[in-house]
Amino acid sequence: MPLKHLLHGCPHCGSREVEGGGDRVLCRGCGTRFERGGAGATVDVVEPGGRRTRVAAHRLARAVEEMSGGGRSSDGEGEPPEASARVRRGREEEAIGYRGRLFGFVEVLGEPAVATLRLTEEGLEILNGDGRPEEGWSLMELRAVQSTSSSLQIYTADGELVQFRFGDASPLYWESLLHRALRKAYRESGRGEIVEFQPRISVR
Amino acid sequence: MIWYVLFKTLLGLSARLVARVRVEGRENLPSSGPYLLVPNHQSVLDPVVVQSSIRRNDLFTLTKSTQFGSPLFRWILPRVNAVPVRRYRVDPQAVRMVLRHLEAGHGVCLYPEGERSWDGAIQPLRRGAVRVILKSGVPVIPCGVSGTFDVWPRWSHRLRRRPVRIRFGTPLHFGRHDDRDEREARVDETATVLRTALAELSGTPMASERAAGRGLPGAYAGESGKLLDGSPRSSE
Repeated sequence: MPLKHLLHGCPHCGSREVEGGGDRVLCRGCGTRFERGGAGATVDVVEPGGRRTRVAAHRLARAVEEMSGGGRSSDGEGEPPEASARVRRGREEEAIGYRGRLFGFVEVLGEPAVATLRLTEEGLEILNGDGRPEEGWSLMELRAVQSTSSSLQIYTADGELVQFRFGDASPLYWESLLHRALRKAYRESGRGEIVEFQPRISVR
Repeated sequence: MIWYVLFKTLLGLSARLVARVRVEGRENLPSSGPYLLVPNHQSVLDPVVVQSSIRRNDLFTLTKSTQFGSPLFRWILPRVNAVPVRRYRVDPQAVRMVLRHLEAGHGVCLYPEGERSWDGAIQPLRRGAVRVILKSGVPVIPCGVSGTFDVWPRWSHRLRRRPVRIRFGTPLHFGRHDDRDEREARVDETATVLRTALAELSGTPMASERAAGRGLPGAYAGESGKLLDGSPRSSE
């Protein structure tokens, strides 16, 4: 996982055109560089002139979250976000035990399939090779949403667990997008304010 | 027990190769009887440094079920008292296991944020975790973890040797609430008390305290951290 998964946009200028790997991110929009900080959960911000500032990582993350708005890219206003992902589905749940005692259950995922994930105002879609929707879930069909360090997982009304493991895209960004979309949909349909997205979406 | 002690010792020593661990407040941990240990979660190293800082060998830790994905971890984790919890759905088996271990007089560790922090700040606590705390009625030991984010944040592959501090707080008593409505009525208040305790013990900000920063760098400049060269920060 790279720093780019945390800073998936530029907290300085708001551009989504960020690049880099490992512990560095460069904004192509304003030239600001971001590097993993030394201590205190910080990130170093290096402005194009060379001025270096150490900033708390959560402040930068918050700025990115707020500046990313509805998830529309700066150069593609109105385009629903898409990302390439390896899709795996929950196949079964397996019991875990030790010395004859049941500890609990874990999910077993099926074989991965490469696909493109798209988020529209209505829901999540999986696109086929021609860019056409092959499968989808309306936002109201989602029962839980969670991210791992490399993937996004949804649990559907049919009781299916679906995992999207991203190549380059940030799972944090996608989780944030989906949270926004769900909050908006629930609010507009009069279902209330979402207070939690997992282990199930619950409202107040 | 043998496996637990072996892994606790080996992993604890390994963690100390990359982290200079300082432990405070060990006297707040009960020497016997059930208790819930509730740390904040900054890094994958947290369970190792926390568990290896505790002398008792009967601590069971709720662990996300995806960790049991590989055969190796499926073999190791039950031997280090890791109890799987499915996070994508309500997991009654995990709740049963917590209550059974507490009834048996063991300690149970749960990370109430539900996942590692992406940015070091303390996330909102999961309501399900707070409900379990309110149902259990046992002493709750808040545990502030700081520094593991600097050693190994969630988004990095590289470890850096940094100081880590584990602080066990004084036990909190929320009482036992078997009635669902009564429990539900106390969730918010309990979560606030716990989260505040974790923030104080770890010296870590809460996610709700994040700066409302649009138009940076002005929004973040001057509020946190220091300039690396030590000069005053500009107000641009």
